[in-house]
Amino acid sequence: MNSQTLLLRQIHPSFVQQGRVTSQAFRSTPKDEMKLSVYDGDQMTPEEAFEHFTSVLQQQSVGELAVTVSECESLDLKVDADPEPFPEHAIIDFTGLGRKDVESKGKKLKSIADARGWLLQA
Amino acid sequence: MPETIEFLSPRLVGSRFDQHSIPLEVLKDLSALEELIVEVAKWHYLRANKDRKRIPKGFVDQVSLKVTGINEGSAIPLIALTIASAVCDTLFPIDQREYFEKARDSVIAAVDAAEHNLPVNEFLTDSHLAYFDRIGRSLREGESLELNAANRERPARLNRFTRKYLTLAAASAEGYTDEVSLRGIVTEASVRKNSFELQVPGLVIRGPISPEHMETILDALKKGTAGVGVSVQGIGRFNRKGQLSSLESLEHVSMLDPMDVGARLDEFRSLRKGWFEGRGVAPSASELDWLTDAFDANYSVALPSPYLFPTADGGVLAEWTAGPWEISLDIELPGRKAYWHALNVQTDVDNDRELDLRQASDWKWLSGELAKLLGVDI
Repeated sequence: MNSQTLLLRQIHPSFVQQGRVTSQAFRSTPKDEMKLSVYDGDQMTPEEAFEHFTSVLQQQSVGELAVTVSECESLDLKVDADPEPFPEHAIIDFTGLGRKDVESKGKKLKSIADARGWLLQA
Repeated sequence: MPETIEFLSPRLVGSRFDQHSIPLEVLKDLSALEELIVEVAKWHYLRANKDRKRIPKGFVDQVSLKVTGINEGSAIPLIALTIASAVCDTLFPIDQREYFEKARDSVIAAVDAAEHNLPVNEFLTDSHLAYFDRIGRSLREGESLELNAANRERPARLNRFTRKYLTLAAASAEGYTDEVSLRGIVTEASVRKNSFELQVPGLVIRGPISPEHMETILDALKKGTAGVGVSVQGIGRFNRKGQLSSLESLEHVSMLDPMDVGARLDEFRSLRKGWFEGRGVAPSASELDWLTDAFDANYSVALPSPYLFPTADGGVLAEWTAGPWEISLDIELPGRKAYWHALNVQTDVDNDRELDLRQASDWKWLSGELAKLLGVDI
């Protein structure tokens, strides 16, 4: 993983309305210990990540948006490999941030991902 | 001269009946009540005259129930029994008054019994009970028709509960009807069969199309493939378990805005526990009802509808974009609280605030902030 690595985020069907993706797709919550799960784009293509998420993990996704490691770091968000659930798993770390900062950084990440566009749409 | 007798002064209770006025739709209920009283009067006559095979001529034709005025006290329609002079002057006069008063008393006794969860079949037959499918159908939650209003302790309240109880007390009743207001997608329509299918969360229901609604339904069928829904008001048929099984008639049909708040919130009703990565909490139907009503009551129609999304903890997230501003309102449903956050993605200026959505003043603040950021006059 380097600064240009794409971090692939799966988008749940309920997180899209009339083509708009909700900013909560890019913010962590206390339930996920303030760590947002993503796929390491250096280890899996968007197609492989989608297949893994929907077939192996059996979760719902309508596609993938992405931000890079450097885009996260520009917002003071640390990115780490987290191979425990599966080898290609990584996290964007929101630990220690207050609610207002979590909201702002989530909205900025989503805005960056929106500008990049869908990497894959089911 | 026709004879006119004071007969019944039921009291309509509820805010719609303030200032002693009665909505026209409630008159349908009173009309069905008249039909029932006539049938019960005939029944009492035949029970008292077992040698008679049929009802005497003029027993029904020459008798009518009329609203002669409306008294104050929520609203009290004064209903009089009018007996035509031809009947009064006959060679063999029948005292209809006696049978109509017995009929009135039987109906009051049945409603009173229903209110107290007691058997009603000793007062009315199954065919009589079937009339309650129409009597009181226009009454809304919290409204009642007190048939024996003079008795403050036991006013014999006909309301949504007692009406259902009476209708289902008939052994032959397979269900009951009630007014419904639905949002859904038209998935099928047949001009030949005059019927259509409406997909609502969790089920598909069939209903008839009346001529005045044909054009809108066919338009809704075309647009339904693009996810555009309709709002339907009419009479629905429910089974004994209270599940909606079909539509009996349509009163109003209108196309919905693709961003309609109620239609979007309806979509969240099909979410189940674990919907989001195995840990999503499903919002409850009653909380979604509350949020739909809250938006209807407090959100200015001049403002654009928000984008709405379920949250993993069972709440709802509303979002708007206003130029460089990304705005969100994170609504915690059981607590009816919300967290407002607005970020200017160009300047990084942001602000936040906790809101109590039970307070009209907080809704007013929300509308004001949105209007300012969106450049809308409200």
